[in-house]
Amino acid sequence: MTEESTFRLLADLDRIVHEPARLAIMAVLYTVESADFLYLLHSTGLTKGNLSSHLMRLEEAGYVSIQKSFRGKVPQTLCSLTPAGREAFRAYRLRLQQAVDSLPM
Amino acid sequence: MSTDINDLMRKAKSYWYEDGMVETLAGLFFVAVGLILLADWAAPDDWPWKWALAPIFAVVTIVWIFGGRKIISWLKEHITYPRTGYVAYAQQGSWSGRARAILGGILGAAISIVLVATVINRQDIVRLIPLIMGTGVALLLLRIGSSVALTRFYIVALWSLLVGSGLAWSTADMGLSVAVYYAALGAAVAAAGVITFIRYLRSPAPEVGDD
Repeated sequence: MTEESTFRLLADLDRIVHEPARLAIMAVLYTVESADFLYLLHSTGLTKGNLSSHLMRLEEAGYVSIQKSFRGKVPQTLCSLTPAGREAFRAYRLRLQQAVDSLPM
Repeated sequence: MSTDINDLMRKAKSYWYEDGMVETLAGLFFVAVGLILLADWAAPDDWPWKWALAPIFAVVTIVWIFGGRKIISWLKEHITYPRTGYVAYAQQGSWSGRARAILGGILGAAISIVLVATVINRQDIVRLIPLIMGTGVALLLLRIGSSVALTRFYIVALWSLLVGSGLAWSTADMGLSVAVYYAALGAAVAAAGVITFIRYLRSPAPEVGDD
């Protein structure tokens, strides 16, 4: 693969996914059916404000759906990847792997 | 922030086992079964309470089969989910169900062979019961361990194989061997669960508050 095509692969990476915090969030949600806000805090180590902001960005992009409800009497914010989000994560991993594989040793 | 993506995904996959509750309760069940079988083996035939052991065994088994998951869910609702959050998993794929069916079939076939051997008085096959049980449980634990990448499942699988093998090659009576196997397996599983639970409680939890 030429240097130009490697650069193209990297340049075409989805910028919504290609952000460490959002990548971490999507990686967790890709593995499960849904997770609440507290679990995402626990697993990613992000601050509350940071996590909220990135979730909002992912929701705006249509990659994550967020549902506010109650678990018993406790409010709960449940997050899950949309089909578009799952596809975006899969495509991102594939493209990144192709880009890394094409780099000279 | 954790940036190892593979580690994040592995931990999300194994979150159900992060608090050690499943293993603690499963271990206690196996210990209870082992103790009941041991009491049945040790008690003389004229012991007045010997008749109660079979119904106790049935009750313990029924409680575990029908209530085990509910007990675990209740504990998680009150301890785990308020502390480190809630996760829902998708329905398991057909391969997992097939794997369990195959394993169940192998164990069922093995038990049938042993029962037939008992009827036709082949003691050399009957004494292999602990080894068959140990191997079957080890395979199941290896399957779970590989899917969630938790080392302690491999350790308990090895323990199951060692205990089963040791009992099969010992001169112990079959009734005693099976009782000891269950108790030893249960103790190992419960110990793994309790240690995991204590480590879970000691690990830092995110600040609880409004989302």
